[in-house]
Amino acid sequence: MLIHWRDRVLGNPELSDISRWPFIDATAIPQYRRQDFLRNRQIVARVLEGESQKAVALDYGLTPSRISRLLQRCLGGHIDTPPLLTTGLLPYHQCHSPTRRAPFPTLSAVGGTRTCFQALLNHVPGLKHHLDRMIRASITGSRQGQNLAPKPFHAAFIRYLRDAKWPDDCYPFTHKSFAYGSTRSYLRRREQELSMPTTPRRIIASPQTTSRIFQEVQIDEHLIDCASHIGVDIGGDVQAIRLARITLILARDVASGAYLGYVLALTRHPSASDMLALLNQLVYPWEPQTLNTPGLRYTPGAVFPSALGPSFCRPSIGIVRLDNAMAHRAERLVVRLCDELGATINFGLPAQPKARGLIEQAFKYLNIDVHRIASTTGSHPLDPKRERRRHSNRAPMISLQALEEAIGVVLTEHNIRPLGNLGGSTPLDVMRRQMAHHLIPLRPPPLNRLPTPYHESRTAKVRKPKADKHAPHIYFEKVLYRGEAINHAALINQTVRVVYDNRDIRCLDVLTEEGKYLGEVRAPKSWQRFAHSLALRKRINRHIRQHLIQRHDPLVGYFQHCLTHRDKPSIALDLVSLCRGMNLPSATGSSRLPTAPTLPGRNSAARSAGSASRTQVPIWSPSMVKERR
Amino acid sequence: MMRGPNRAASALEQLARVTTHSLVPSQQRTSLALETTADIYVRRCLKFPGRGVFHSYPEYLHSITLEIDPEVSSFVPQPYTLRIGRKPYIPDVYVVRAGQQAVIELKGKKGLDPVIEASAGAFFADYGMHFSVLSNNAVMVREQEALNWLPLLQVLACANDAGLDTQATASTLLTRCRRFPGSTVGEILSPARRPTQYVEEVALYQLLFNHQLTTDLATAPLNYHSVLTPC
Repeated sequence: MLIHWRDRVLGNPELSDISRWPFIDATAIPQYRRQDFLRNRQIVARVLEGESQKAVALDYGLTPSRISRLLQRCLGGHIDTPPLLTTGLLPYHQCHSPTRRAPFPTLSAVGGTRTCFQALLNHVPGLKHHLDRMIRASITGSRQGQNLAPKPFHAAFIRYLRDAKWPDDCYPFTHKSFAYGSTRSYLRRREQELSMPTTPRRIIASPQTTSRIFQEVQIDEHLIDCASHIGVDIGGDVQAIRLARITLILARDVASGAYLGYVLALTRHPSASDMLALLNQLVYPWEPQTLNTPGLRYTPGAVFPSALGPSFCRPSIGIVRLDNAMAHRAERLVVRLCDELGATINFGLPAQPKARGLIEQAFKYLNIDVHRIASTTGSHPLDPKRERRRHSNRAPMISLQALEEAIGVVLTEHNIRPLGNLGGSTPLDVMRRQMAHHLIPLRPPPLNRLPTPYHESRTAKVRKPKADKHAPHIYFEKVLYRGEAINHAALINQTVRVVYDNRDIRCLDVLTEEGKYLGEVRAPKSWQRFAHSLALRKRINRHIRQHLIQRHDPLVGYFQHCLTHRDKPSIALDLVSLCRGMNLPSATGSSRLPTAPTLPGRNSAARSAGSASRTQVPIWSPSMVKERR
Repeated sequence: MMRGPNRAASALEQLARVTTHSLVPSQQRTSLALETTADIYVRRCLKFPGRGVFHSYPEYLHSITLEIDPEVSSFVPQPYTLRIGRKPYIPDVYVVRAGQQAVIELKGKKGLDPVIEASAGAFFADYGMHFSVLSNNAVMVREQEALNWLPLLQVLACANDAGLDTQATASTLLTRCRRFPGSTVGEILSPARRPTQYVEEVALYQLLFNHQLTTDLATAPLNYHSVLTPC
């Protein structure tokens, strides 16, 4: 309902004081309109103070109705909408979008066509929706859409009016162009409006930037864009075999940009054990790797933050951002992060890598160096830096050990590189400064419940079926463990806690739930031949399930399986991983002479297959890389 | 199975039938489908025993604001699975505030379906619980304060897990702060001796968490120059 300006002032007496109206800076108004604005303000002020409109009009040479219209513009309007107040004083200012009140022009009643098109859109049922649907289909590239142009769009507009039985003697049919200009303007305007980015419906991440170290840590995996080789000693001959690409798992602090630690997993799909190894790097002092590659060395001062002091090993980590990989969902990892480190885990939304943009940026930086190596895969299949196809059957020049060492050096160097977004400081400088001058909360000191960071514990039940005459057992990772420690009737069907070193799970320490040490239990002899990690046991069990190897003597079976199929790079990588897991000499990472247990004449086929690549492999050095483009 | 009264006959409001298996609040398991489509946060809580799973950033922040609210004694995220009409519905959080039970749903601009809101409200009212819908924006207003509190809560959760007893140290600290009003954190925790001052640090956080000491964490994180005021 429209109200008069006097009613508005009676209802809101505070509006009668013009000094309390919103302020508009008169100097911001163009000079040729400023005088009219000031005049309008004086007129309204005098009328509101009680002077008659007639007297004021006389003073300014205007008619009283003009004064009344000005006041109505400032204070009148709809009862439910706020008055324009100072905005109404601006001369020639269009305060509301115009709406047509007059009827549409017809042949008999000719009239202007101002705002007729907008009124038509509101008047004809479904017209606006029809036109908008056409525009939206064009913008989104829908199958039903077309590449719209003004002319067919106008034709569709006319066709809709015809179908809707719109009278022929009414606008737009009374107009010369049938509202072509308005239709074209509407098309262009709506194209712009509908192609604007939409505000996300939900809050994905905090708009605030992280300023405190360890407040937010991003972790992600990246398949290194480079293949490598390893030399295998078979019967005295050293064969260079191509390895599949390895995976880098990296943790980066958001506030300082520092790399906190890394793990190189010898697989395409890292497991929870690899993630736990990374977390260990965050909480135990980092020690540099022994570098054997000629020409490679750590820059002095280039370390990971955990090497800076005891406080850097005990920060209370705020939010750890991960993606939805299966390894990240492992209960062991959640327990470690949430319960032991006290952090918050954020798995993030799928297909939103930019939510962890900093860690993705780290991989991009790393690729600058990795792409210099001749055996790189490049960023995409058509990348000119990619390894030539004619070389794909031969082992790459770079060895696995050299690649691992080079990555370690590159990552540590980042921490002492001055960064522009840190004001020229290095990430480690920011770390040191904040730890010295800011209250960075620290976690409790380690409780030393477990002997080493590689030790884990879990609960298990002591079982002994009635019909089974064997000793009681504990079922652990698909294997029955037996020993004197659990040969007590009172323990049968009871829950106990087992503690194990995840690098060697041939034997387990058994404790009661109260923590009393009972002794150790051992795996069957078929699993005792070599030390093997938890991850390796899981992998071997997967091979057994898939009938790739026999159940009896699984360790040797798996080794022979890998050795037989070593020409396949992924299996060759498994072979290296196996040797390291079994703590065989290759676990040291020797690039040229990793071991192979002597195999009694079973590998003749494999040997003939590998003969093509049997060659003396030169020691890789950084000078072999391609020049940076 | 518990059923709420069927009020669908009411001419003024459309209420769907609400059923649930239990009204004992316990965190419902998050389905794998939701885990991979929602922005999941997992955190060890102080007023909820165990790890809380939160399905959005505002829910996560809201849990922190509940932790620091002195009137809230406990809360349970995703407490019930209701069936409203034919649709399953899990409210976001169950809160015990000043002895009163409440169930809160956090929603964005779109808001909660009016039928669900009215039905769940009527259902919980029958059992003496207040059901309300809180907008995400209302939570995000306190984002900075929640993030400033977060490290303190995380250290306390770790200390609780380790069974650290800080009662005597906390009492000493409180006495000292009462005797010398206007003490700063830097007078209690020295940057040079941080690794050895863990008990004092936890005791200080405990006093702040229990609101026996206060400091301005609404605008800035706790720092060495933060002034401690006894309550």
